Amino acid sequence: MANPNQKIQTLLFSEGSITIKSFCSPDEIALLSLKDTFVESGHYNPILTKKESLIDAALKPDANVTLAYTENKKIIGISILRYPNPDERWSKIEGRVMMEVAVTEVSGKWRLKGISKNLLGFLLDHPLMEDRIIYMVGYSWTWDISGTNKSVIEYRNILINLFSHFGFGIYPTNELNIMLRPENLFMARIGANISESIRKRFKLVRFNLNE
Amino acid sequence: MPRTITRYPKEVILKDHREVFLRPFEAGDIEKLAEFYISLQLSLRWFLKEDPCDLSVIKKWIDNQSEGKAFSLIALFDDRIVAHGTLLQRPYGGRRHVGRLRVMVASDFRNLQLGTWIVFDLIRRGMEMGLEKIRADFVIGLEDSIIEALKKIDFIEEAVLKDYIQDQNGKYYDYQIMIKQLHKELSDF
Repeated sequence: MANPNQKIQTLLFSEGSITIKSFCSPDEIALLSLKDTFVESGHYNPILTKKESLIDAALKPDANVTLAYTENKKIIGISILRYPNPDERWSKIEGRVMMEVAVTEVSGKWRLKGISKNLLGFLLDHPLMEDRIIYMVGYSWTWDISGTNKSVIEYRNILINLFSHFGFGIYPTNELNIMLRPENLFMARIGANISESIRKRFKLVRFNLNE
Repeated sequence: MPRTITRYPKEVILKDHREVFLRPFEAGDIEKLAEFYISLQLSLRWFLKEDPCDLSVIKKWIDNQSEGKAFSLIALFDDRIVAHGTLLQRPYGGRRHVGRLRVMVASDFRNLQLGTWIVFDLIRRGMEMGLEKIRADFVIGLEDSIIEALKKIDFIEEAVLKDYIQDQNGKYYDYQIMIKQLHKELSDF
């Protein structure tokens, strides 16, 4: 049975139609294919190449796996919202307050068509949106900018614009991986129901400080 | 100079839990910035190229910023400026691709990563400006902690000018030139 929060949209392009579906279940993911679209080639090294990883993510509590796929069931866009792993800094905020936009990726030939924005829109259309701090980290070494004619800082600005559209802001943090490069990025959206004490805790955790 | 996409003011929590705000330097900050430099030890500001306690010098810095030759950040604790960093760009000639960086931090705000936060924002700004290198010069023996901090973020000790700087008592110091390369794209390792 489909998740009651699931949304489906069809987009038409000259290459064919694309379906975007949120809260994909393991059974729905099993019917789709990652072959041909998310494969390593040249500079491109996709974050996810196995369907099993998507199925694992979909099984996690409150997770939202939003996919874009073609008429012949090939996945061409992936976005995942999930809780951080227990060993990550962001898990220090108790009560499952933090959720991460862990992946947002569109396959090579389908880029520059606004699919990322559609994916994110469905991903963040989540019933817990106002009760969570949703965050994203952008590590420049995962960005596939080859052939875009963009520098890493220009690509960073594209990401900022994309996430700002959904109410995310840039927050400084001394998390070591983010601090490794100046162009790396940490953005978050604080839900309207987040208490003042959690906001304060979030601030301290960003700087690895305790109360 | 391109529009900065980093939003200011930016709140930073220091290791001692004090909250500091970073934001670009504005014309209304001139007197506060002069106060900041007056409060610094003479031995530190002596090595600057101009007297930062002179209001006309600071006004010139504001003009440079308006003309796109400089980008300056200040750190505010309550209403007091506790650090000042600047990235200068030459608008003409063979050094246009090189930015010059300078950071000063109040003595009671040192060793708390405040300087690192400012340098990080200035590096990012340099990348947005399309710079290829950032140069920073320091006096060896007086600014060793910032030299060590910048080495950790990939500034290379490019050259040392022996006995190049003289303090107010006539004592000579070596001068360290540091360079950071800014890469537009990642390498294909």
